This record gives sequence, structure tokens and C-alpha cells, in this order.
Amino acid sequence: MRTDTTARYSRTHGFPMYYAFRAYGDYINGSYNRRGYFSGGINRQSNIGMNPVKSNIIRGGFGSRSSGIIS
Amino acid sequence: MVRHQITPRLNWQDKVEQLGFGFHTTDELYWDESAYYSLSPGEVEHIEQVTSELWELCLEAVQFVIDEKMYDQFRIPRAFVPLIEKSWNDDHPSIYGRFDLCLRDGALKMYEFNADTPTSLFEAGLVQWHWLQDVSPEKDQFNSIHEKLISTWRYLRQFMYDAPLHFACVRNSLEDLTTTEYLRDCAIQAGFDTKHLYMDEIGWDTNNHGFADMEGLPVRNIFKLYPWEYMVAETFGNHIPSDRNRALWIEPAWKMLLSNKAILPVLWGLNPGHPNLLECHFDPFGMKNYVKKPVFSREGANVSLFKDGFLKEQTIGAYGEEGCVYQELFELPSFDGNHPVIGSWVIGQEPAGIGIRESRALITDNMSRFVPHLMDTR
Repeated sequence: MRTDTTARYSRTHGFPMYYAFRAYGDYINGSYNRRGYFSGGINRQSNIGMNPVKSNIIRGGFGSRSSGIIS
Repeated sequence: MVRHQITPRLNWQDKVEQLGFGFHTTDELYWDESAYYSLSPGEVEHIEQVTSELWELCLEAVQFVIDEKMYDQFRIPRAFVPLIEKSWNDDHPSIYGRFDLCLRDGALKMYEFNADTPTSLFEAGLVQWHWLQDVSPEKDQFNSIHEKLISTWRYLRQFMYDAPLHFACVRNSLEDLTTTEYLRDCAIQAGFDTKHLYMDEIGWDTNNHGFADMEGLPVRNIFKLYPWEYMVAETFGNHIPSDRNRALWIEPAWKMLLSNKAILPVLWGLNPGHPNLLECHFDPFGMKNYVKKPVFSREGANVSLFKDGFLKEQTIGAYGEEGCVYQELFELPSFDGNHPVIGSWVIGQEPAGIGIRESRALITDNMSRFVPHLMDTR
């Protein structure tokens, strides 16, 4: 048998959650509605900005196929 | 193996979403707990033993392909051959893979090995385990996926750079993001400092000639849920061989050989008549009942099923120009019109558990449903 351990999260995660990613929703008149997703896993720096530190870095050379690539 | 129909848990959507499982329903139901499969301990032991043996056969097949330099048959660009061979010879870290197996009338046959970007990991490792705790906590499940992911990440740390472990996937796919985040979660529990980024956010530092993250810091260890065959065809793929940081990509480059359907004729050629392999060739080889699969196909796309020489079933998709393999037809069993395929996980080189996906058609595609299982000891 197994046990489910609790992740130790670093401050980079933003939310003190048990899982790195989770959805949330509610019921209205007995019908379930998904409202959105929490994710503390996406880096706050995740933008393509004009920071001079980034000036020598080019992006976009991977990921041209953006739909799910699962198998 | 028996299929049972049951009443789903009350508010099951809420229960699974609390775990972070947001793609339980798309246009159709994906997580289906209106049924479950029970397996006997003997069946579980059989799957475990066969998975272990198939993994050994796969490693021997990779060595054979490298020794015989069969890269053209695998459509591998020449520029990436040194990378593949180095990752193999240096034993670069690998975390997982999933065999797709068919269990019918006591026979267990391998359809293929999803070695590079397998998913349904989160559902198999976590969601079905929590289902079992709610529905039948006294029963067991063939499932040590979660523990093995953590212990394997912990083991791999000594073979990786003393640097953050990045996790990358494509945008706009909740399934891919969830799978990647689950793996990252397990790595955190194994003590890694981690970062997430999307594939298109991976940067190339033109001054330092290395990959960079969104903070401009070097990428040295990176898990990517993105196929190698896409990477080698894209702009940044050409940078990988000249990366001064020599980043460790997980899964490693040699998995390009195992995730390619061209490995199936190689496996058969090395082990003809093996009880867990299906006859497979680069042409129909006189077979009347066979399945034609593109070497790069994913999720059952562009698969054609022939019976008595006639096309019986096929799926559409964008694959096929790269060449095909022809595999002996071994039909999935039918449980009231439901056809289950067993996804048997290898994590850290060991069998780790299963997830079952079933479909109404004989070809399991991306509209299949994940159905939980338990081990019945009675």
C-alpha cells in the first residue's frame, strides 16, 4: 500500500497548496461549473519583456506546435 | 480481468478537481468512473513480469539500432546521431515510459511503447488511487507510480547538474500542463529546485551559446513534455548539439529510437515468436490481418486496421509521410462493446503500475476514456 505525501513547496509557488496545479469549480442548481484554475507553478517572470538582461536571448525556437502533444 | 458497472461518486467532478484534475471532461467524458476493472493478483503479476521483460528487450533493441546505425529507417536527422549516441553511452537520466498492452484470453501482447512523451500519468498515479480510497479502501491497486516518481527523481539527482530542474510543455493544453506539473510536484518532493516554463519561452543565449530560462539563467536540467521529433525539426533544435552547457534533456535523446514505431519491427526481428510481441515488419510481409501505423504517430492517429486483407477501421491525422510499420492484428477484448488497453508504466527502469483506457472502437485514440481499476484478491 502507498501513502500520499505532501509536497514541500518553495516560495516560488505562490500558493501554499498540496498540489502544484489545481482546478476549482462550484455547483449551480445541481449542475457543475468549472470556474478556473489555480497555478502557482507559472513563473512570474514568464513574459517576453524588454529587460536588457534578456537582450541577448532569443525565444520562440521551440513550441511551434502548441496543441497537446501527448501519446 | 472483469469490467464492473457502478454508480459514480456523488459530486465526483468536484472530488477529482480538488486533486488538480481539470480535464476529466472535454467534449466527451474522459475520466469515467461509471465502471472499473478488477484484476486478479495473478494477472497483475503477469503484467508486472512482462513489463519488466519488455523493458529489457527495448534496451537491447536500442543498442542494436545504434550498433547497426539504422537511423535512416527511423528518420533521424544525421546531425542528431552524435547526441543520441552520447545520451545512450553516458546513460543520461530518464524518468518514465508507458507500454500499451492488450490482455486477452490470458495472452499479453505489446502494441507499442510510449517512451518519450507518455501521458495519463496523473490519472493513473493519483486520481485513480484517490478513487480507490473512496470506493473500496480495503482493496489494493497495481499502482506505485507516485512513490516511484519521487524515489526516481531522488535517485537521479546525483547524475544531474547542481542547478534548477526546469519543466517545459506547450501552451493551451491543460492535459500537458497538468502532467508536467505533476511530475514537477514529485521532483519538488524529491528535493529539486524547480521552474516551469513553456516550450516557446525557452531562450537561446547568443552570447553564451546556451539555453536560458525566463530569468535569463542557464537551463542545464530540463524535463520537456514535447516530442524529440518536433524538437529536431524546429529552429532551436539545431542549437542542441552546440549547447555549451550541455543541458540534460529528459527524456534523453536516445528515447527518439524507442518512441518511434520503427522499433517494433526491430524488436520482432531480434525476438521472433516472443509471446509478448506481435509480428511486425516494414511492409505487410504477406499478412492478411494487420495494423498499419506511421512511425511517428501519436494517440492512434493515422492508424489503419486490415482484416482478411480489407480495411476494417482507420483513424485520421497528420502522420504517415514519414513511413509506416505493419503489425499483426491482435484485437482488444470486448466488454459490452468497450475495448480496454492497458497502459503499463515503467518508472526508474521498474514496472510501476497501470492505467486503463477504453474506447468503443478497436483503435484507441485521443477520445478514449480512462477507467480506474483495482486488484481483487477474492
